[in-house]
Amino acid sequence: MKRTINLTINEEAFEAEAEPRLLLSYFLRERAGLTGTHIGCVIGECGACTVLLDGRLVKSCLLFAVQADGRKVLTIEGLAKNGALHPIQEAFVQQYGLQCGYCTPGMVLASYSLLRDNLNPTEEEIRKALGGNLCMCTGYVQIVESVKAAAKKLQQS
Amino acid sequence: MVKFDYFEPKSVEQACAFLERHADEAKLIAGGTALLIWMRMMLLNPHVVVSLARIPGFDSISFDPKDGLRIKAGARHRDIELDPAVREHYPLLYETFRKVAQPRIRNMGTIGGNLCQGDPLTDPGASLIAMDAEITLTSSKAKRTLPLEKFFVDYYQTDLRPGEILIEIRVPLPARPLGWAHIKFLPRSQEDFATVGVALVLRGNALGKRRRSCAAKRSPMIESGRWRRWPRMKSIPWMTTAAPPITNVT
Amino acid sequence: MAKAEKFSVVGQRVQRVDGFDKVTGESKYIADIILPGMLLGKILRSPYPHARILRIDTSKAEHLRGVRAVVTAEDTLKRPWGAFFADQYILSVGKARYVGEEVAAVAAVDLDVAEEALALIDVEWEPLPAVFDAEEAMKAGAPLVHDDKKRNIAVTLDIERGNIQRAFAESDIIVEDTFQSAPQWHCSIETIGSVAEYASSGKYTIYMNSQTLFNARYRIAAALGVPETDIRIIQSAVGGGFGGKSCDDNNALVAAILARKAGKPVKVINSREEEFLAGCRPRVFMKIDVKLGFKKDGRIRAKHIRIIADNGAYSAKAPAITGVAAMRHDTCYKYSDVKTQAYLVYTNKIPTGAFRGFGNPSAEWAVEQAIDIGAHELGIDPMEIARINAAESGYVSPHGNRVTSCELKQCLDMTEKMMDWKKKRADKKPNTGLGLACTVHVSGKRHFGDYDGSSATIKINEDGKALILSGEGEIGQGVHTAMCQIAAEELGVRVEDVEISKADTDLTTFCLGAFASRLTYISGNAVKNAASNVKQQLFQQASEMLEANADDLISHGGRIFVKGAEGKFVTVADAARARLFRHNGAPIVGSGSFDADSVLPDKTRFGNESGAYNYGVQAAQVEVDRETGQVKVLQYVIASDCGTVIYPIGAEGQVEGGFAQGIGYALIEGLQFDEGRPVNPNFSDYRIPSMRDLPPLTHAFADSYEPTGPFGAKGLGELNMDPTAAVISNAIFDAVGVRIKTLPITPEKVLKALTEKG
Repeated sequence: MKRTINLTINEEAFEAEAEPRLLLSYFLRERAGLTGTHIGCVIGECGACTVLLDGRLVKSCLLFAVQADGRKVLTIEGLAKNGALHPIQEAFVQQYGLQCGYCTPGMVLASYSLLRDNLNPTEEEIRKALGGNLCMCTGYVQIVESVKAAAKKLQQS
Repeated sequence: MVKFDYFEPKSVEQACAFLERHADEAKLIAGGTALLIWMRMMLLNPHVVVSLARIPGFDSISFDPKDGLRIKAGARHRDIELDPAVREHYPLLYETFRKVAQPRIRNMGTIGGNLCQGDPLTDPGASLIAMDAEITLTSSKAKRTLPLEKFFVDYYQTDLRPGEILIEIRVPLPARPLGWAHIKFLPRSQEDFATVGVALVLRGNALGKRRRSCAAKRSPMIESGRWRRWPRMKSIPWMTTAAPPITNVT
Repeated sequence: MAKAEKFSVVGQRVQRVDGFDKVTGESKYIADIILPGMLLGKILRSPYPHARILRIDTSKAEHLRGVRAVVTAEDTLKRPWGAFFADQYILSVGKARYVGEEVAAVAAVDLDVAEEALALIDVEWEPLPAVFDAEEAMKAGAPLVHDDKKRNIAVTLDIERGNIQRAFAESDIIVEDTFQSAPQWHCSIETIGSVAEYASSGKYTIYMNSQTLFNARYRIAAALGVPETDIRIIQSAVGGGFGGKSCDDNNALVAAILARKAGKPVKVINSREEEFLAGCRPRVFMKIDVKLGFKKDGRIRAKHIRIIADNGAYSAKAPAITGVAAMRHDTCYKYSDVKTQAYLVYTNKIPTGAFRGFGNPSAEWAVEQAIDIGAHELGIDPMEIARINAAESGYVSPHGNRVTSCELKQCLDMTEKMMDWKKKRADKKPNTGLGLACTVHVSGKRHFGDYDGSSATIKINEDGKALILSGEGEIGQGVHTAMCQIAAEELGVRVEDVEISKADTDLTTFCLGAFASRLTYISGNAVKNAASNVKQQLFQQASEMLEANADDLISHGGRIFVKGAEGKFVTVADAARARLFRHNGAPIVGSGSFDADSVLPDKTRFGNESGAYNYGVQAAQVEVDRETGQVKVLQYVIASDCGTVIYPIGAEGQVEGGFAQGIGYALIEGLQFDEGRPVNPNFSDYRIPSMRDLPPLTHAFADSYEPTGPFGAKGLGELNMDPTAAVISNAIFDAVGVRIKTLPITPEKVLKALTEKG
């Protein structure tokens, strides 16, 4: 039994049909064509599919798309505005907060959620907030540095 | 994953009716964080999924000094963690809930889903038991209230009966002074499930006395072994020989 | 000796060239490749560790609505393939030899239909006796994994250099112990996948997230029985490799035969569980007996190592890995007499293979602990033992490895200082301890035929910007940025003025790919040579324009001028445009190649395996909780000798990332098998280090210059995880006096050891 699902994705209305068993992560990728939401484990452990749902950070693989019906989603594609990177994205490029980049959208969105509530996080707060995002490349040092640099940028702006 | 029909009742009564109608083939979904994984692993293959997420007020948290804390089953872990009354009057619960998994799991998972899953590896159960929490369950036919301690039967087994929905958790206001602690032992990674978790509450006379006179609440939740071949709790001596340090008195 | 040289691009903290695509989600990883009409494939896997296939009935699956193709071994040539030994099939022929082996596959309109179809394939199995332990498998009468491999042995090594008996007789003390290493999965957050397309002309186009494109093409061509030219492999963005994506598995082959049969493009992406069961080939697990003879003054006089390595059901890279574990470490210290014996043994488990370190982490886990045991028995500071024995520039190992640059001693000094080793040793606190280990790695390894080289082409556009065409793909490690820097340095332009292509076997020249820490050194040299070639073409043009001799010209910052007369110049852009327009539009294209000065080891495995050797030292201070067995790493220090650091911020990332995998290997990661079946093939039960698991790390690079490297550089990628497990174990011994000899070092093991010690 397919259902019509209405979402606001990155501030634009989006409607598509899906079976109830379709996960939000696949809905975003396959129906909405937003492939920046990555799939790493599909059991909520790696954080690559992290998005914001009604402003709250969630793992989109732990949610059926129907559960998100009528709600607002922010994906990595919604961060840069008018061709300009978001300060967090800039910081990740400048501080080398990435290697293969597969975990990066999730890392950036988790940082976004953290810095929205706390513009001056301690290293421990950063590590706690991003603890749900796995990265096998970086050893996380430069990711933490990127978040710190992003916080500085946001404080100044 | 199997195909299933998805219903979103607007009231608990409607939800009970769906459950009754679809008896064996239906599963309830609240946050879904655990159910989804089990469905993906084909451990559960329900043909009907009934969502409780759109029942008005099913996620509310209220506090009254006489009545205590009432948490509706649909409240998310994060809501409980951030609730001012929880923080002020139930520091053990605040301490416990802020340590459950990570924020984005707490943003999704509900307390009702957590308790009904009966997963001994998760944190809230032990602390709620230690706080003498009681729960209310309802079905089309009857409503009952029981201490949470009685609800847990075994690993992943609860006293949830066919057709029943957990609707509320009530935690009485603890008498002061109150000593409390929640600690968990994470064997491998900080993001791991605990091998052992202990919640401890000390009231009145027990405070200030020697540690062994403390009334530590233990529940099935504190015993867990992850892998078949990994040593279980008995190999960790502090579990059986000492209580956790009481660092918090409020 | 280190040689200081001034560079304008090399060694600068430039931004990585592919950073923007990655922070915006624009990068196209394999799952993001979507072709018109594309189907999705799923693979039916063996539920048994060893079983004969009596019958496969696919008719029900074929008739399911939405299914476009079902394939079994009947759709293949039934021709075995493999990196070193051809012993595995695309789909099981006759029997399956491990849980997860590919038996059949389906292409359908969506994943759910494909999964439903798999359930409709009816296989009649006859389970056979299986063997899961390498030592058991070597015993007479053990079930045979391959009928023609007696005692299940795939490879035997038995090599003696010098006179081992005499050397032990001349030793003052002898240390002897056994260590067990563990399997480890790469756990790239992106799993292996491919999208295959088949044209009726007979050409396959396969998008892969492979780290070794041309090697993949060679193997895929062999398995499909077509010439290499009939296969085009295009690299997608790669979400991490670590050795796991070096085409030793069947993913792309299954996609290819599904695409051929369905007549439509087919995408096959491993689920996380499949990745554990039969995707990337995990680290070879080994049981290692070490015997070391020391002189009283700390010199190592003799070394005898005996390894039993688990090959799994098929041979991927384990034959080479076993050799590395048996011999590589002999390039770390000055040895004279060594004996090495190794057996690589088939079992009914997942084939093991290449993983960052390539046998080194297993060997160093054992040997570096044995050296630590020797140091404690002799009462010599482990730092001193390392110093006494450390290799130096000019050292030739007993196996013929020729060391052209080595700053191991400098790394020891740096480590001692960064850790404040002497002070910490003097003020030792209860339950805390210090551990140390040294490591060596190659910069490329000559083992795929008599070649360890690379090639590159550089094209200069009419605006003067350069495009590097290279088949050495980026897999996340940042090598494309380093290659752009090397080209920019040689050309005398800004790094922003150099671009690099995607790797594509049809469009780029032959390259071996990312393995053996080879790219900065080997492809860096090829790129430098290509840049030098194309620069000469530009200089020729500029010499006409400046009316000067081409030999007197130099370039810097995008300008070409006569040495010493910087005021008079032409820009690279002007020279490029002029040349294009004046020479019948002949392209400004330069090629460069490089083959390392190494030799293919002979039958006794003697011969210099690599063009350059990188060195490192790591040290830890740990605290052990005696009540729980929990090990807390208080501080960690790494010093690395990778020659000139081309791309500092990237090199730092390599050290930090390698270290994280080392910590995972040492303390966290462990896959449990039950009768050959992985019990915990997912990220909630197989844990990898999270952001909160990693201790504070201080690290630095030695002042070093490799004479054969591009601008003095050599490899770095694997060095950083090689010794970590041994470092942690040595520190635990120093802290509480127990030695853990199996990986991972769990609290349970530490506690048990403490309890037994009393």
